[in-house]
Amino acid sequence: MTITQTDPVNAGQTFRDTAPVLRVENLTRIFGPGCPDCVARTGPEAETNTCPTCGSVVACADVSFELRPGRTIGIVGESGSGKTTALRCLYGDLAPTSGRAYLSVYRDGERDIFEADPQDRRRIRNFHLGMVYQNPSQGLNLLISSGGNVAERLLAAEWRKVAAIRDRAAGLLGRMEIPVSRMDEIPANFSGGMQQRVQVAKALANGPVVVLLDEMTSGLDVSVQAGVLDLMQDIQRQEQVAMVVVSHDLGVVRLLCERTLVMKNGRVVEAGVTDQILEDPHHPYTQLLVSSVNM
Amino acid sequence: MKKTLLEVRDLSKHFTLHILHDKHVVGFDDVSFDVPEGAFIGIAGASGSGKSSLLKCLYRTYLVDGGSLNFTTAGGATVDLVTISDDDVLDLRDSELGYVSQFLRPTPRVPAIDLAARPLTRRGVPAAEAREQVEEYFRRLKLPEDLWDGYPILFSGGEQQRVNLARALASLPRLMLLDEPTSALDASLQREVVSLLAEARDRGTTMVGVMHDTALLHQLADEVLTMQHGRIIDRARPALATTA
Ligand SMILES: Nc1ncnc2c1ncn2[C@@H]1O[C@H](COP(=O)(O)OP(=O)(O)OP(=O)(O)O)[C@@H](O)[C@H]1O
Ligand SMILES: [Mg+2]
Ligand SMILES: [Zn+2]
Repeated sequence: MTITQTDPVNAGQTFRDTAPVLRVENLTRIFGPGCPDCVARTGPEAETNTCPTCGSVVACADVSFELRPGRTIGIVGESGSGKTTALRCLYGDLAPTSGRAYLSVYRDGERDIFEADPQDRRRIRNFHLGMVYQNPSQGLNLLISSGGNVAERLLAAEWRKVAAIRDRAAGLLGRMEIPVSRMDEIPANFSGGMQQRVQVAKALANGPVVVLLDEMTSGLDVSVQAGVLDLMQDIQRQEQVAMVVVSHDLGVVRLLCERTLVMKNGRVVEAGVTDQILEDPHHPYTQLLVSSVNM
Repeated sequence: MKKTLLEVRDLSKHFTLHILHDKHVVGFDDVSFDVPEGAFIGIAGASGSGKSSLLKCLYRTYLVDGGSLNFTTAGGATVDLVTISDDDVLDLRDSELGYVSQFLRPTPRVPAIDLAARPLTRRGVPAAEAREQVEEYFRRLKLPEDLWDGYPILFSGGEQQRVNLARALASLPRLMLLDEPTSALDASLQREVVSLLAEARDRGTTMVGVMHDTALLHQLADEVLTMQHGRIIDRARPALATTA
């Protein structure tokens, strides 16, 4: 038997599109009055995110990373390390204290989205980003139908044709394995796993360049988690959407993320290709994290 | 004179285990060798001598502490695998670098055939075509057909190893890194793997392979490097005639 393979050795382009869809520089968010010492006196060395001078909480500081089209980056770290804060600043739920972020689809990636006027900021959020919250009640209106939840998002992105909206909603919910027969039902009646799947459908509705996902499987039973993660992998294979996946679960990150940032006390202590973070962690905190789970 | 695909220079790798009171472990030191295009470089040595660590450093699964890894891409550009960005490493893995690990770590709930076809589909090969190519390797490696749609997490070590090999061979990377690719296979399957690897090399894949079976290694390799305590202590060129 011989192999009838054509010669794929010369696989064409070695490096894909190297321009990032998202670039984040020194993202910092401080809760409280703030003082000149805040950043210097907090972080992993100080082993706290609370400024001893003024008592402010430095939720995240100097978070920087780039994300290329279609890639997924994970953010892991202990509770309170600033993962959610960073994500919510990017989505526009929170204003950062300082730092910059650039999206390829906003003014050719040359203008800081944090500096955008409120109208542009809303447009960026409605047209180019998607968000999945840990708690479905934050991301969904549990009292309008699941189809209505997706439609709401499409209307925000200025879809106008009712038939098109209905088709898109049905298509996305179907892909997330929500039966068409339940499209008109309110998510309040759904299980946690179903609610998260409706959130994903909603987050993908407007064809975003980046979807931000915060602990999307944390509240779910292990077997339900598995189903949601399988669906997320399908989405990754089929869509060219980049993702930022926040999770305290290294298993989730191993499954979904090609690169990983590790956060502690509001700082990124280590960043790398995910298998490197798992097999050759350098920072003491990452070593502790990796050694304490059995993967 | 063949072009050099990868130049390994003064590579060293140490580990500091902070959780064990900053215990220091030497992976390997001052490793240098050339990987000419189309060659099979074998790496031999006792358990713990640094072979797998070396391969993992070539793939960025481990970060090196010193040295350089100049790699010539298909387009003719030279990049240092030590210093290029994580994103560039990921692109290179998708396009030109393959790695057959000692142990498969299968993604849960992905059928064997899809798992093995993934590097191809990621490069844009249509799913049906990718599956066909993988099937040829599954057949050659005598993986029972009723396992093709099974979940490798439930497979035996030898079955997993064959899925792993089929995955790498089907995608035919320019540089393939192999860590004990036959350790769980019986003698007849080992022979089949040797001929598959020889065929892959004939089609243009360059390989660096770790095998503790020196007889197999000498059948395949153009040069065999022997490691001991993290250093190369011997370089041998098996008879060139065996490459046929
Ligand atoms: N609105 C707020 N006001 C004051 N402090 C806040 C506020 N939101 C977050 N923090 C603080 O900022 C820090 C980072 O919180 P954040 O929610 O970003 O952490 P996280 O990494 O997402 O944690 P978890 O894994 O528990 O979700 C915490 O100390 C938190 O108490
Ligand atoms: Mg959080
Ligand atoms: Zn302060």
